Amino acid sequence: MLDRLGIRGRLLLVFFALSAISMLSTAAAIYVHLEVGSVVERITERQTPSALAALQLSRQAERVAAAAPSMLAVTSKTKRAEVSAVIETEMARLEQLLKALSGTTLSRESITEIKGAVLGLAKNLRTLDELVEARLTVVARKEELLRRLSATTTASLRLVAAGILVVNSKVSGWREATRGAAASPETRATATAGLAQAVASYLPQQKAQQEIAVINGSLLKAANSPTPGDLALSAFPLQRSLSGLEAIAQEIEAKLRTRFQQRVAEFKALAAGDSGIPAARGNELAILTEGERLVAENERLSRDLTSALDRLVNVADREITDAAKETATVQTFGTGVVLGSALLTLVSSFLIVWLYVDRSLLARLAAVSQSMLAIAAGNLRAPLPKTAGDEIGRMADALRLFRDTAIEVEEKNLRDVAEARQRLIDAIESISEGFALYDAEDRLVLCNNRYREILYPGMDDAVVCGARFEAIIRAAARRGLIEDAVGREEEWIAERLDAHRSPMRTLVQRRNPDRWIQISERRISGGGTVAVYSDVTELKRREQDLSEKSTALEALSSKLAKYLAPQIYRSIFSGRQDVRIASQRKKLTICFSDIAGFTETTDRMESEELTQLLNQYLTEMSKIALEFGATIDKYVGDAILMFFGDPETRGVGEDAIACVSMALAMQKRMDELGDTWRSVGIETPLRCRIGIHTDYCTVGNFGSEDRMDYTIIGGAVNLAARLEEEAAPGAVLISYETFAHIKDLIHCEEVGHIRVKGIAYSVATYRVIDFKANLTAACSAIRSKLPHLTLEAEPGLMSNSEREEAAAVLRETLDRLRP
Amino acid sequence: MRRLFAAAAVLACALSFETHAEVLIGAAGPVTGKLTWIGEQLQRGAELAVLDLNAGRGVLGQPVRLVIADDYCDPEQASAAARKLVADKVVFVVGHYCSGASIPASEIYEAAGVLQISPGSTNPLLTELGRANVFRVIGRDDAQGTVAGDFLAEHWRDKKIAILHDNTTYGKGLAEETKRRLNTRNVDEAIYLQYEPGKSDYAAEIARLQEAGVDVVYVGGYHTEVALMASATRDRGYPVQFISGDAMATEELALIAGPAAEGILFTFTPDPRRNPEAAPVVARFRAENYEPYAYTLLTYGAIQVWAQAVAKAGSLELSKVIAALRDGKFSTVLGPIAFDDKGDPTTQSWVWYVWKNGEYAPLK
Repeated sequence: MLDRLGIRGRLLLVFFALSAISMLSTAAAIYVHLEVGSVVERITERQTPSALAALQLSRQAERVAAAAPSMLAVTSKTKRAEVSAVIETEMARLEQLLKALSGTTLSRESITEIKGAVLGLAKNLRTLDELVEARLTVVARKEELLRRLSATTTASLRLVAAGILVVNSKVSGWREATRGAAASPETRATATAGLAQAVASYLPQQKAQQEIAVINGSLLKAANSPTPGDLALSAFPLQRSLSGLEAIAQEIEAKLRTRFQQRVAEFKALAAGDSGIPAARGNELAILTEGERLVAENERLSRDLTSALDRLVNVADREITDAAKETATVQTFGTGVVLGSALLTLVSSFLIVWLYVDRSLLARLAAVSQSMLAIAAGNLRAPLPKTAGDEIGRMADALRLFRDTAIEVEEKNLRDVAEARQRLIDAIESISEGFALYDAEDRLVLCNNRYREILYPGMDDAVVCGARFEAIIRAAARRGLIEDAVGREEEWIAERLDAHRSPMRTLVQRRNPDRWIQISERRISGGGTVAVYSDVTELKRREQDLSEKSTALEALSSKLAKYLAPQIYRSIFSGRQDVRIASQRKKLTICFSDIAGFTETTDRMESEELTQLLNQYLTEMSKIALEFGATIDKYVGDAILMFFGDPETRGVGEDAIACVSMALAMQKRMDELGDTWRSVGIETPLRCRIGIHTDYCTVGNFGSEDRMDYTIIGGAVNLAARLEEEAAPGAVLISYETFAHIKDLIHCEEVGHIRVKGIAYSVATYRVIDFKANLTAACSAIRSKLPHLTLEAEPGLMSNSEREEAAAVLRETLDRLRP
Repeated sequence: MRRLFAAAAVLACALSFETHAEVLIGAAGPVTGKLTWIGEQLQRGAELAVLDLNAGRGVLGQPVRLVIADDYCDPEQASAAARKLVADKVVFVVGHYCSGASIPASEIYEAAGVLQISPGSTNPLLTELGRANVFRVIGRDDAQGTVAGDFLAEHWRDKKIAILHDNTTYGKGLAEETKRRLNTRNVDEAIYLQYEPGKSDYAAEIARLQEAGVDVVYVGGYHTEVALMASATRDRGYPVQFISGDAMATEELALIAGPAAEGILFTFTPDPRRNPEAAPVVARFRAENYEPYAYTLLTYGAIQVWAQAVAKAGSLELSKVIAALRDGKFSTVLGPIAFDDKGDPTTQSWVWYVWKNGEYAPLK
């Protein structure tokens, strides 16, 4: 059953088992977590708020109860209002807390109990407040009475004051009268009688003063007596003194008696009855007693409330403790489950690795891997592990299959190689070239028969596989098969070996007789050399023939060139210009040069001398012309026709400048040549006339198909010739068109107009002087612009008559300027 | 909403009325001690005046409450009484009686911004110190001294005149004024003597006067001493005329001196009891079996002056009340009264009274 599952199934089973244990432990942990959470929730949401509210309420109740005595202590209405407001606020807060407490999960009985206590407290406080108000009224009344007592006392004492003053005065008068020894007995007697009379008449005042003091003292004492008993105690002396005072009033002198009686009545009113001071104090004491009772009651209520609330808090505390215990149990249980699971997982993992993975899987895998390594190393006959039903067994089967296939493939490969080799030999033999393959040690590996045939005929004994290259060529050289090696065998062998070892290019070996063999050698990867040998005798012969023909053609061509302008020659030979009849119109600068009086000069010369002179002249001029880039159209005797602008042009202006520059160079060269010629005996040196014109011409090849001429045609050519004719010997004459192009650079003198046949208008002509850069300042223009004087003179351009005329005008000007 | 505001406003008014429910005024004088009879006059006058004010509309519609302070006619006690009244937040003090008490107290009232109207302090210095808050409804001793000096010069020119004083502000001031006037009239006193007040026997002083053969004595001092001196002369059988100032206007003089009081002359303002305006007030005092001697009506009048000035100013603010006092003429139990810039009444007259049959009466 277990075997049928395979490794996958077995491992799956193991993992499932391990996962199940993990899940068990996770479930335990979640259970603990939830359990603890619910307990915490129970504590925080149900027990704690009610306990807290109860505590707050208890504290608040204590605060209210503590605030109550301060009410009893108040002495003014404002103070009472303040304290009352404070207690009111505290009470409101207490009621609010009570409401909050009702919202919690407390039992109905406890809330009812608390509510009862709070209501009792509130009622007591209200009563206390009323009591305090009443007390304030009573106290105010008492104070008023005390003020009245003071006023009455003062007023009654005032009534007796005068009498006392008089008695005092009498006493001191008597003392004065009886002290002196000189005093007569009569005087003494009179003084004593006066004193006695005074004392007798003011005795009631004296007594009254005493009684007033007693009454005042008793009433003040009554006003502050601490208990009702003290109050009753003070009533007796008060009554007695009042009666005494009343009796004395009868004895007071008549003038003051009424007022004195009034005071006594006031004292009576203060001392007795409901509006008297003792009654007021009695009321106050009663209120105070009631107040103290209420405060005590308050304290009791507050204590009750506190103990009720304490009970609540205790209940909450107990519940919290229970919950905590419960949580601890659940935690212990959960921890046990988790730890057990972990241990179980560890042990089963160890067993699985030891019993199954190590002993079953890894051992068999090692056997398979060993077999694989053996097969990979080439040992196809290595032993293979046993077959079994599981994956490793299947793996062994696959390995067996693989080995069988490998054996089969090996055999097939061997067959293929033999076949390919035969095919290669056949192919090599079938090609017309000789083929040889040398290995890295330069031993012949393979060659075809053609190789033997063309390179080493009759050397079949030497050219065998395994023969060294050097040995083969040495044998060939010794037999004289190689033309180049004749007489220098060793040298040639060295060269040949060099070439063989580092083949750079194709070699052509000359063989006897008139036989060439082309050798192509290539190094192949791995160090061997492949050589292909071709018989090129026929090719070589054809090449020699071609070379001879080409040399002849080149000689012909260079001769032909002398009859053509170099540009034309170049154009034609480079293929840029077709040699065919064609023409085009172009603006060209045409130069015509001729030697003045050539016929006269040359008539006296021998033909050879003339030829030499003319050729020298033409060669020199042509050289200059070519230097400046002129196209030499043709030589007509001593005349030369040149033009600028075809086949190459630098622009019309530049062409004109180049042409005139060339003419000036030619004239300069002619001056130098004149000296040379004079020295060789030519009496009158040759002088040159040059005409230049710029205009449109037709340029191109003119003539028949058999003979063509590259030339220019047009009126311009005629005008140039005409200008040349007009030019003085040694001068250069140019037309206005040319002048217009060059005037900025080159200084010219206007000469005059000429008429040319075929041209309707007269042509302005200019004699070329020199480059402006070469001219001195004397030739430059004078220009001045002043107020009332404008001067513009170009002495360089003036003729002699003009100069004289100008000088006359300037002289007159000077005369008139200098008075 | 508006009704709510209205209700709040009414409540606020009620509360403010509650806090300023009453206007406190002070009455300061010698309630007890040697001058207790004069203190009684002051107290009775003030009490009835306040009662009458509250029987009307009070002051500015607010009831007036009286606070009595006893100064024993002593400068230091007067300062203490003044501080007590200031601490009680009185806006006005009627008092004090003795010049020696009024002057130091006036400094405290000035600093606290409390109005002071004295019913009995006659020393010129009280209003000469330039304190704007100080007024009086009685005349000044410079005038009183002048009258006394003239009287002495006219009637006793050729007799021996003695001038005595008790060295109090009032007594000494009055004696000096009288002496000055007398001397101005080219009459010289025979004796100028200072005596110690508060003794029970003045036989020594009288003996000295008798030895000098003095015919007339002018005393700058209070009634108790004058009464004792008069008794002493009578006991000795020494006939001498006593003349004194306004302090003699109390029945206690006769109670102490007995028959010796007969014939004592003194100057005082014209008796307000005789003013027709005072008649109902005097009748009410007498109904209570109390004779409103001297300063009783002066005190009553001083409070009337204050109440009328406040009504006129429409405010309890000191500066406004002072302005009203300086500006106006007030009709009181003292007759019409007005004040100059110093705070003294614009009209003051001193008339002569004589003690006869235990009562004082105008000298005919």
